[in-house]
Amino acid sequence: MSVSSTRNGAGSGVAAALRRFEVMAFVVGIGLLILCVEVVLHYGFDNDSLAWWSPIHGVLYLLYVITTADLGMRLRWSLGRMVGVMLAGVVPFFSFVMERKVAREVQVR
Amino acid sequence: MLRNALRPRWLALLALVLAVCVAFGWMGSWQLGVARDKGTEQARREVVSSPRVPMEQVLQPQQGFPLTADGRRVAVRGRYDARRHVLVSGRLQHGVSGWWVVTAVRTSAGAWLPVVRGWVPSPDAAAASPDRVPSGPVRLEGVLQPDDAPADASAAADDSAADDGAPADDAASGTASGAGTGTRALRALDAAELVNLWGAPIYNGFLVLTAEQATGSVAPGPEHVPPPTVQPTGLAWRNVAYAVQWWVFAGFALVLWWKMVRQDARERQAAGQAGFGEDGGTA
Repeated sequence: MSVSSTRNGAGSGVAAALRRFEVMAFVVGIGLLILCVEVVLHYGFDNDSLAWWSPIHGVLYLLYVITTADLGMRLRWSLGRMVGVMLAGVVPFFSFVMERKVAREVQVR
Repeated sequence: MLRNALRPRWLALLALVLAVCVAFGWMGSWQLGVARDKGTEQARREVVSSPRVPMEQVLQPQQGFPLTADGRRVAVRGRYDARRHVLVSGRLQHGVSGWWVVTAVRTSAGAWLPVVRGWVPSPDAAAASPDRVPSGPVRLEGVLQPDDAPADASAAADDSAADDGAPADDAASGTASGAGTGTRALRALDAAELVNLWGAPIYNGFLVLTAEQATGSVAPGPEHVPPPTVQPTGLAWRNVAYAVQWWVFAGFALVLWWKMVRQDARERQAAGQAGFGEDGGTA
């Protein structure tokens, strides 16, 4: 793994943080798609059969935000960058893109 | 580290974070309010739509009125006792102040159940007379209500319109002039008071009649009272979760701020001791 050879001396920590971030970005990306279906069902069809998902997705998103902050702190991201990546988790499909981008970037370092 | 937190840059960020916290805290409170409103509405709908049950399943004589009985639709069998008959003043029906016609039913459990048979605009109304009480065995359907709270009683007493029909009536009980001899007029429906008039055993709470099956032909009774809407409290758990999440996010913003201050302080320290920054000193 190329990430383990970063200059920070906390390389293995970064690798693990990146892994956690990637997992949560994926989970939140999928969760957000489920949430979109839920919203369409709720407002479009007055159907609340998926309504139980929204609070669970809230918790998952919180975990995503935490892993983002953890990774961002380790990589000395600016606050704007960190918040930007966090917000990427609320745009459908964008968290997948962001996850790829961040992973590539970390591996280049 | 604390000194670092007081640098203008971090203070400005703290102000921003606190603003976010206030906004998120407010969103959380709003969701909690929604949770309460929805919960109350759900609980009300559940109670109202819950199937009718035999009364003995939810309410026993001489026992406290359980919260779960409030607003329950029940059925009960028994016999009216026309001598145990009271009117309750200051009751609104479609905005008009009038009287509730309340007659005791001896239930199959052998206790007195106050039954609100209906409403009359005046105690002199024919429908308020005990003569209209069915004499044989009856099967009643209605909605259970807890006894009037003392506050309700005083509110009813404040309603001056309530006194118009009953010149003779004074404090808690009196005799309504036109409604037949011996008909008591009360200001509140309360088992503690009724037990003095009717004797024990008695139920705490009363039945608002919605349907009545009697044997033989019976003269029409008073106009039914619409079953009151109940106000049980409850929370919609989903909105509680949203409220908690807003607050957790607010807390997280604060934690993140503090972590960034700490990291910045560590880096400054490491930069000060040039060369020794093994961990995080690469700036």
